[in-house]
Amino acid sequence: MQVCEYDILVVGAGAAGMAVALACRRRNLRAAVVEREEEPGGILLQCIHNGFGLQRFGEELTGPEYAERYLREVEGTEIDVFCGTTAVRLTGGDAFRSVVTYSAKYGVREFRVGAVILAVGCRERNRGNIGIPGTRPAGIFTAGLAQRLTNIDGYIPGSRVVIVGSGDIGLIMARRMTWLGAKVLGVVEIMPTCSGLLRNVVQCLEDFDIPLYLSHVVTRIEGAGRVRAVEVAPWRNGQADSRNAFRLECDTLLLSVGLIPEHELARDAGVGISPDTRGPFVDANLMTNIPGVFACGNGLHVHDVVDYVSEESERCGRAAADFVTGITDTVKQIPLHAGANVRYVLPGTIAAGRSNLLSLRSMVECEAARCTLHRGEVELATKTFRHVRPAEMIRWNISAEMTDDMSREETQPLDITIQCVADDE
Amino acid sequence: MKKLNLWTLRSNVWRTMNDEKQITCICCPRGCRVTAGLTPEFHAAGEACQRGREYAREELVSPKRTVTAVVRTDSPSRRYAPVKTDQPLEIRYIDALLRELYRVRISLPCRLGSAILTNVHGTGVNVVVTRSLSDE
Repeated sequence: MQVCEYDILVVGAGAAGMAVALACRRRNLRAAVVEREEEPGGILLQCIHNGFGLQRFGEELTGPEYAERYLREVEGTEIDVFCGTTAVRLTGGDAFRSVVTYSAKYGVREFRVGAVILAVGCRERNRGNIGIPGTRPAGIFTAGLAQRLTNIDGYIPGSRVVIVGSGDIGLIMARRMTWLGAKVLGVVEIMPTCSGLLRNVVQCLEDFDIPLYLSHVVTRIEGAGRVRAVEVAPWRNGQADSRNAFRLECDTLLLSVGLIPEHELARDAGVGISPDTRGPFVDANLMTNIPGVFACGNGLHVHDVVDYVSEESERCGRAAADFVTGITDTVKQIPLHAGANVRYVLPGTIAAGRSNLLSLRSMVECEAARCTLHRGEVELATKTFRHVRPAEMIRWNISAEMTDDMSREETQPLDITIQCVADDE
Repeated sequence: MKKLNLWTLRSNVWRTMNDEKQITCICCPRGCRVTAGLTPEFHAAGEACQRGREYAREELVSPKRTVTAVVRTDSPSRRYAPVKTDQPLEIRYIDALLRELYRVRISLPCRLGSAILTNVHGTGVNVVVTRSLSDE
């Protein structure tokens, strides 16, 4: 087995991997990136629609354009990118971190590095995850797979389409399929609210009069060789109302039913996995419980927009660079937990005496919501956010002044809560 | 030119027949439901701010969207290249544009930003490649 030594190894060359590698390179560290696919760029390359980069570049880019900005920058540096290379084992250690990779081109290699950054992205949930009964015909795709087929490979998956789940990929695919000449019969969403961004509902469904069936589920898939129809029923009180079920004749079912961080490499190494995000637990430096192993991007938690992935990854790269160069972090970290109405909050600790950018997801939808950081009964910080929805991540920067006195206090855990102050409409 | 006049005429007829329209404003996450019409003059209700009013007017007078698609290349290994309109295009031209893009074939290598169609239907909108591809 060939042994390669670097300061930093990044696993994954998508949006997160490229940003984190560049951040490490800016600190003059020797960085390598391993990528499972045959080329770098990640999922951005198949997201040919626009709407990327508004936060980061102040202009609307398509996925490939966003990726290309980073790819050009990576090409201009001494970052080694190894494509067609899969990381199969990660081990922590006192002297170095080790990652074993398999590749048809480079064979089996062991990377011995100062820090490993997991920028592995996420995977789509599929039919098995939501348990739709019925036959098992051809014509059932996850939305992201259908997106790859249409946008990279140039295949049209079907002509009469039903979409399950109102996540953004599902909505984007509704428009894409319509533009390809297919008929989209409807989007079926189990929740009472749409889980995609508003502009996608308007521009991908309303523009084409595609019905959005909220509080509905697909209760059966019919068809022998190919999907023939699906049965859709209202979802009431936690069960399908079969008396009001109806059939939609279609040949294709697209599933846009959520994403799960691809956490197996981390989990098998002994990294703690959060049941809420399904990604690793990380501290204020985005480091996992294994020293020198970091995580960022959709492999840490699923983001709404790529701009935040890039920002988070740069932060992660700086922290990893600090770790490798021996800038010891003596800052006290206080555990942070999700409280009332908060599905999850990241990172899992707050660093005292410096600013902390928190990412949190609400469980409730309201016009205005008050986020509060508590220590027991004491309110430490509070801020009101507008238009709070589970589909949109809240980012809250806790300033250094707010956390200043924490270094003196004892390390009683903090928690964060969301409270609606004005209901929708 | 004749075709263009026909389109204008048709959209005017459509306008007087279904004057008031429900529009969801996408200027911010609030998503106001704006009811707006053009006869006898532009009027709107339900919007929370001036941006919503302007958005509704635009949606009634000449709604536009950025179109993204893929086009066939002459390469056997990189068969498709992603493209977009460099500005939002009036919705009524989108179907015709998509049909045209379906027939377009470009040769590789291509550079991000290079135009493959210019001045679509006389609107001044161009279609550009959104990814640099080489024929490897």
